[in-house]
Amino acid sequence: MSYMTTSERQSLLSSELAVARTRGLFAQALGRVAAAFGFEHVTLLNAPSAEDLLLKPLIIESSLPVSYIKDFDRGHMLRACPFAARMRESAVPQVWHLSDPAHAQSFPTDIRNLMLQRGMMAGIAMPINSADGQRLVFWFGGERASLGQSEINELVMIVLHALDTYNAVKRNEESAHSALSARELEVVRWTAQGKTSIEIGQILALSDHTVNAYMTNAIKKLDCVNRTQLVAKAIRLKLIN
Amino acid sequence: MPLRFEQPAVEHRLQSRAHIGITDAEALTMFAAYRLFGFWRMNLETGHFFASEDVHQIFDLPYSEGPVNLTELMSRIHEEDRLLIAETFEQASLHRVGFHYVYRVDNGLGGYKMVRSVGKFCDDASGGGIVGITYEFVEKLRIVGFEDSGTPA
Repeated sequence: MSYMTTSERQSLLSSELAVARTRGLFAQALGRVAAAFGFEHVTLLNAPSAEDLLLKPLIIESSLPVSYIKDFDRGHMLRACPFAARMRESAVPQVWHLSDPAHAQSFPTDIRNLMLQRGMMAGIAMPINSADGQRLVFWFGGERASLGQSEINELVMIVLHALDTYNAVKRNEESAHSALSARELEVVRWTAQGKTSIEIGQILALSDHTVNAYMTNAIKKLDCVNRTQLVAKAIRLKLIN
Repeated sequence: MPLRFEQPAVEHRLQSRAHIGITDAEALTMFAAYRLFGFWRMNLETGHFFASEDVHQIFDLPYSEGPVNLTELMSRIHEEDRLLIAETFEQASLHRVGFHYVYRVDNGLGGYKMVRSVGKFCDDASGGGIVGITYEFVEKLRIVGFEDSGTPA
């Protein structure tokens, strides 16, 4: 019975990850994975190198409160974190529960106190390599009982699906960046700033027909159906800022 | 469509009001009272965003009847909320559906205020668009306010 339940959960969460085509949807799907395992928070980050001092610049996606990250960085806790080095050296997931004295003692006092204050009693950190060879870490934390081995196995499988989704999202974003020509980008940027085709034509010394042609090309290249979707997608992909 | 709502987008049932005697306009006026409450429209074909005075004020933008500078408006939104909002507009314009969200906007004092927007797809002669409302979400406890124009009984 428990095998069926686990299998269904894994299948459902993996399917949700598989259809997440954008960064926002990926983050939402990751949040649902965390919730399904009783964790309050999930973070995807670049594995820290020996030179890294702060956590914030390493974060790719996170549901952690900003204040937690600030406190962590204010106390320069990254280098003192016992998992930081292990994330580079081993692919084995690191699991902890602060009710276990051995686990609790492996954290320096200030990190342990911060985790206790913020309800991060239990957690798991899973190092993994992305398609471009980048070392990443999927981190889950929250107030729950210690993870059992079968849950760890299940979560590892789900994280493999999450990695596939992240790789696909990143590829989409990169191809969108290189898809638009400089002129097309300029036209989209001015549209987002509220300019009409005629006004953009005056700014760029082009006819409004040419401006419209650039817009139509940009719509096709970013696989959009109208200018609203194009502007919103360009903002989401940070093509314009 | 892949976007999921945490809260079901259930239409409010029509309630009987004849025995109460309150009009749509009065209900809206009361809902909008004592806070910044504005209206906007995103034109689907041009990608332009038009907004009323209160929307400009919420985002600390100079008022104009012309299209809003979306790049500037988005810069006022908390960076963690910005991408999801852009994605909401993207999905709404693609699937022609309504939506709502609560997000953080720069309050000009080094912090953020909570703002809620509700959008609804509107199919009309101009080629369709998303129309909506945006208001400051300041549900404080134990607050009292009175109109300025009262007349003694």
